[in-house]
Amino acid sequence: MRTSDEELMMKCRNGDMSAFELLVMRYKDLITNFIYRSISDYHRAEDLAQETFLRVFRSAARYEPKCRFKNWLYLIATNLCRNEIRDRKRRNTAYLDDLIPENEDASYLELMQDVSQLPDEVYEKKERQIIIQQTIDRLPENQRLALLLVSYQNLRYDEIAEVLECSVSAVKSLIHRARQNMKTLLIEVGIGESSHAKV
Amino acid sequence: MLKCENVHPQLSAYVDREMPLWTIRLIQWHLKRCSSCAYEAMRIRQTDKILHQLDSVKTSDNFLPDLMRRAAAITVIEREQISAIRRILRRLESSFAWLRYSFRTRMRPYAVVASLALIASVVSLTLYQPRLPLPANDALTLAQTPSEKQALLVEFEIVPINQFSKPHLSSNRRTSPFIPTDQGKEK
Repeated sequence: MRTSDEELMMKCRNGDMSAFELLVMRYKDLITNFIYRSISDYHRAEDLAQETFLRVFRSAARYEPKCRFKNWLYLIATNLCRNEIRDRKRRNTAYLDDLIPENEDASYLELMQDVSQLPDEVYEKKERQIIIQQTIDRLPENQRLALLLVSYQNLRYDEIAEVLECSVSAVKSLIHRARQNMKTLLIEVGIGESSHAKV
Repeated sequence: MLKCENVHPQLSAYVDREMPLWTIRLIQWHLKRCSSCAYEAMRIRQTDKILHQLDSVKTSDNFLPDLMRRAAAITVIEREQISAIRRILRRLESSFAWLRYSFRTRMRPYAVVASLALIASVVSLTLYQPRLPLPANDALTLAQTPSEKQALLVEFEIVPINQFSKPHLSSNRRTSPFIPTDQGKEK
């Protein structure tokens, strides 16, 4: 039987490092993906994912299973993402990573190894992914986070409300507006303008 | 019947199935009849599909070992902090150890004397009951202002006993035991 996250966290509170390791194994990819989609910087996303887990580890002694562990974890990650986005805005920094997509060469190599796709198709797919990511980056902070949580992390609206610390109706409105904006922006960049868009 | 302007903001929640079943049924019923709302719902699904075209990233191989190393370092720091507190407590204990030692050895007779003195003082304080002043409820004490007090004072006049005729009082408010009475006059 699978041990629940809350049980693992209680073990971690008692100093069980293997329980913490198991928790990290469960969520590391999800959290890294979420942060990566929010800030579009792979290396920084890994750093922030590590920081998220370290914060969990540090506050393990004070952990009370009042809310779901998953929501708490996403709350920490979301706060870190917000800080990072605001820091970048304040510094008005254009990172080189923002201009050159992460692991571009590596991912191209990986795609090229896939012989089922033609190089042109691979290139087109990659370009498309870059455009989509840039479109996500253009969304306002809260809309972006809400959309990522619902689309990629498959969180329910009430869970997102807990993570974003707002009401469920506010989440509903945020996601609706995010999708509307996303649709408009995708049309602007030439994706999804017709029903024949590659889906 | 549902109107388009009511259905439109609900479409995102409808696509995510984040509403009660009866509302889903109502919107489904509306979508069958309204092509613009149906098209809008289709566009939302399409946008979602486009978003899912993004490949998911995986953490690097050294993510977990790095993280566990950092977590272990935190544990060590916490332990060091705890041991630092213990060290301070031990130092305090050692600095006050002379007191404990001298109490055990040399200070014992003095401590016995001091405790006996303490007991004696407590007992004497308990037994000693100081004499309390009598309750001041006579009119002279209760008088608030000096003029009132003056009014209450009695003036005496020394009169030879044979010439004693009548008591001369400045005030007749109060009868003093020192005022000669009619009995004296008779004498």
